[in-house]
Amino acid sequence: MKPTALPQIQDFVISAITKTSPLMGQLALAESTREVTTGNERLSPVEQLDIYREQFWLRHTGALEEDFVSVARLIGTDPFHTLCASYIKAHPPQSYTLRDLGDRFAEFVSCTTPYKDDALLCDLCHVEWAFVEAFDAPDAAPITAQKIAATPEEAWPNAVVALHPALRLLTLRYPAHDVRISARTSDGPLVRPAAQDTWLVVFRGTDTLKFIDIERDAFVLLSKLHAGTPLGLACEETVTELGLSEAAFQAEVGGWFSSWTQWGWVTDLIV
Amino acid sequence: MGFRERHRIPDLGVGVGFRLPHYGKVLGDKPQMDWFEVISENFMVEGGKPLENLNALCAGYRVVPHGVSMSIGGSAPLSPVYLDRLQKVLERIAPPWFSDHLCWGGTAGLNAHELLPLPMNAEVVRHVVERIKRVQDRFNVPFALENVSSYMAFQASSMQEFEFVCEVAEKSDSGILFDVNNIYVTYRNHGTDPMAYVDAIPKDRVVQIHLAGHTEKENYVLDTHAGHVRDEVWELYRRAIEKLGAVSTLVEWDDDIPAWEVLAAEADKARALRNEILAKQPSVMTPASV
Repeated sequence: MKPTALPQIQDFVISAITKTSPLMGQLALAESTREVTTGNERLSPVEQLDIYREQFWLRHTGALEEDFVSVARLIGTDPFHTLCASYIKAHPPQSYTLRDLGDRFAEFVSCTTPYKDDALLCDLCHVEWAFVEAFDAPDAAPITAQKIAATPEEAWPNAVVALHPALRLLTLRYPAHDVRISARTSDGPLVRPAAQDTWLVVFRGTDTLKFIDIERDAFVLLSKLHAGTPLGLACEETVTELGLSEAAFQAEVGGWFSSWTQWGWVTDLIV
Repeated sequence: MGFRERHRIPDLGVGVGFRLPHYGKVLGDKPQMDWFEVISENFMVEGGKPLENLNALCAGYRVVPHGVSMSIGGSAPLSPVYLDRLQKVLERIAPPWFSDHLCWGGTAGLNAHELLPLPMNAEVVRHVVERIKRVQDRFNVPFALENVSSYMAFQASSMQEFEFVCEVAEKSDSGILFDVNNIYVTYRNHGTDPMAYVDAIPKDRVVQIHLAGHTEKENYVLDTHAGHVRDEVWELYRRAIEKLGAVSTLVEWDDDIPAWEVLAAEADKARALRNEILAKQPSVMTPASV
């Protein structure tokens, strides 16, 4: 049936321009395209439509390549483009902004053969996306010394520690952040690092995005606070889960909080 | 009283798009530039550097937001999330007008992030006008739509593009962002008469003009916003200013973005041409007078 109403025409165009291969070789489509577009003396109807198809893939693959630079470098351009096409087919862009295009990329890669078995690659996807999210997350002012001083001692165990909305916590099997840096600072082949458990925090500094790999014990506590667990309970759970001595934990925790506050991670104490 | 006069649309002079490679130069050195256009969607975020940069830009320059994703001609409902975020951008900038494209960008399940052309007929005019009115009801800022470049034409079209653009603007009482490069690209791709297009556009509805470069492909012309404005487009701009008078003009350069000095020189070229034409006209409204 010849599509004449706007919704029909738009469904037809979207269906055509999201095809991964050129439309010219698809005879049935060429026939139905003649019903929709006019063509001209230089381009057939299906060739006209194919310009938009080509642009669709260039634009979306390019956006993913920009957000996942190190992933593209690690597996190579052509395999990366094939991976992007599979991802976009599985998760068509729905947001008004290309910024959101990669929001399920890490999840997709971790379920896709052969990449799901490449732990470094999966870690890299998470690291890259953490930087995208941290970049434009909401703002929040760091907690003030006055606010800390004004919080009575007895209120601390039940206090919820509010952390900066841009903070991203990543448990990694590889120091993937080092690969991310290499991909942005050198043109040579990326070196795969040895496996090494890594607890990475991505955050927004005063002028740039920053990251730091912190020790496991601090990361466990920070994760519990990030999930909204009150301070006292978070400390207890950390000590129990990690089998730490109370004394060793107490010796460390003050220093952790001091650093987190200094880096702007703590924004409030909700009592 | 015409649209421009009724909404007190100012002539901002000649500006350029605010693009990432120039953020440091513009915000650091604060070079002379009449005004900047920003892509609305780049600043529909919750925080961080983008909003910091936008605030800094607004502190030093006149800024107008230009959207690419409203999909005013789409069949899917206008996105309330999109409109909410656009509202925040408009509140932050407080611009004299805002704009998007007379096009569609996707269906309910997919956003193609493309400025797709519309079939041009009475049914589509009704559809688009109804949606424009909903946008206008939502925002207390004059709204303008840009004519898009296109690479395909629809069997369902029964109007010429300039008729479609004018009818949508008249029936919705909206402004026109007149992109003369797009007219040229469309002329090359579809054989329409670009000068007739310029002549048909109602003077009182044009709030802004776009200039840009494009790329010659084997069998068509692609609207890439790359490279210098071509001579043929300068000629169309000349004709547009002769007809429309002092209209805010914006040089877009989005691909292979050059050094700031090259972009600023392109804006200077537009300004010189504009001033030359306006000097011959009896009444000139300059940026300083608004």
